[in-house]
Amino acid sequence: MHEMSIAQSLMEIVKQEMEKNNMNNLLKVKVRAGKINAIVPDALQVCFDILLQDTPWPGAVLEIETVPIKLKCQKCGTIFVPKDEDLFPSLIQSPCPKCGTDFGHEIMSGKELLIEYIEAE
Amino acid sequence: MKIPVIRKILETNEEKSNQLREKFDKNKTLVLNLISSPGAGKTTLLERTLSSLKSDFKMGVIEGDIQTTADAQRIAKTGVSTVQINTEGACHLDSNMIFAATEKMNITDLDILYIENVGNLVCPAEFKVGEDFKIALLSIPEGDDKPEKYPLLFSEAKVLLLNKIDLLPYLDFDVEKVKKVVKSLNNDIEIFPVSAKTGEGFDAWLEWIKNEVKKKKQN
Ligand SMILES: Nc1nc2c(ncn2[C@@H]2O[C@H](COP(=O)(O)OP(=O)(O)OP(=O)(O)O)[C@@H](O)[C@H]2O)c(=O)[nH]1
Ligand SMILES: [Mg+2]
Ligand SMILES: [Zn+2]
Ligand SMILES: [Zn+2]
Repeated sequence: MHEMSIAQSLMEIVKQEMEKNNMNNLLKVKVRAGKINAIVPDALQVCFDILLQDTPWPGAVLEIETVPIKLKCQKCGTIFVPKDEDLFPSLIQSPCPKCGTDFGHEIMSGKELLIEYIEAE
Repeated sequence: MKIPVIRKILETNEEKSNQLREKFDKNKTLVLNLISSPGAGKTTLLERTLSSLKSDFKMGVIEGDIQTTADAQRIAKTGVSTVQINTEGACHLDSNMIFAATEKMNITDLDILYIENVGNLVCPAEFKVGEDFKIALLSIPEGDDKPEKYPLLFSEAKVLLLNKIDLLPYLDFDVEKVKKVVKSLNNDIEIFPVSAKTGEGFDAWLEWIKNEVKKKKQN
């Protein structure tokens, strides 16, 4: 259940930002979660909703955007999205579309775990 | 109104981890964060490692456990100082917990500090605890598909210990396939097949530790 820890850290940041910006009512939180973090969006939703109940804005919405995995070919530098990236074996064996190398690609995106913005009034 | 934020969600833990790291760096202590599924052999590996290196280095152990103190007691038997963290349900250690633990032990003169994380392949990889390196353990009975299913740990670890190789004759586990998959996730990783039970393969692992201690002292 790493979603609960993540929801707690997220809530801490949201509270700081609400105060810093002198906001009273939180409407929405937007998060970007890289696919490699293996976050289950529904589980994060549930955890965040639980924490929202103890805040002045229990009705706020959490939007989670899953960021796909992007690889950079170690040989020719081509940046590409592995084909069936829901299946990790294909992430690993995914050949570079240009030169065919299927080994040691650099992970360009898909590892991030960010809060992007909040909507508040 | 829309307020752009762009902050890492786990940034508070990362800041704490950086502070811990500074403290460890100042003392020139090599800090290793051991991560695996439950039962892969972290405590057994530590017992053998500590016994083998006891006369060479001053070492300490932080034991993360959800509930019991059994692992800390096993480590204490080797004569190495141990602090137990009870996470009370949390499935990983974070930097706050390590801060608290370091206050209960004398860390200033340690050559090596080992942190046995809670048995879990997923989130311990996301929470830095001031370590120099993550050491991943994967044991043969768990199956050779784990790196594909849990790529984060294997892409972040500096060393992968393939443990329980004494069981290889009895199980279908393709060591070469795992090596290939893990190397493709993480080209810099060192992979040592070992048996914490028989001691097979330990020379390379111990050699790696000795070398890293030396590097840390030179920094
Ligand atoms: N055959 C064999 N068994 C091993 C080996 N290493 C550990 N074991 C056994 O595996 C079981 C679990 O080992 P532990 O060292 O307690 O595993 P752990 O990773 O510390 O477990 P948790 O702390 O519960 O996550 C024990 O019964 C060990 O005796 C090995 O190399 N070979
Ligand atoms: Mg243990
Ligand atoms: Zn290429
Ligand atoms: Zn966790």
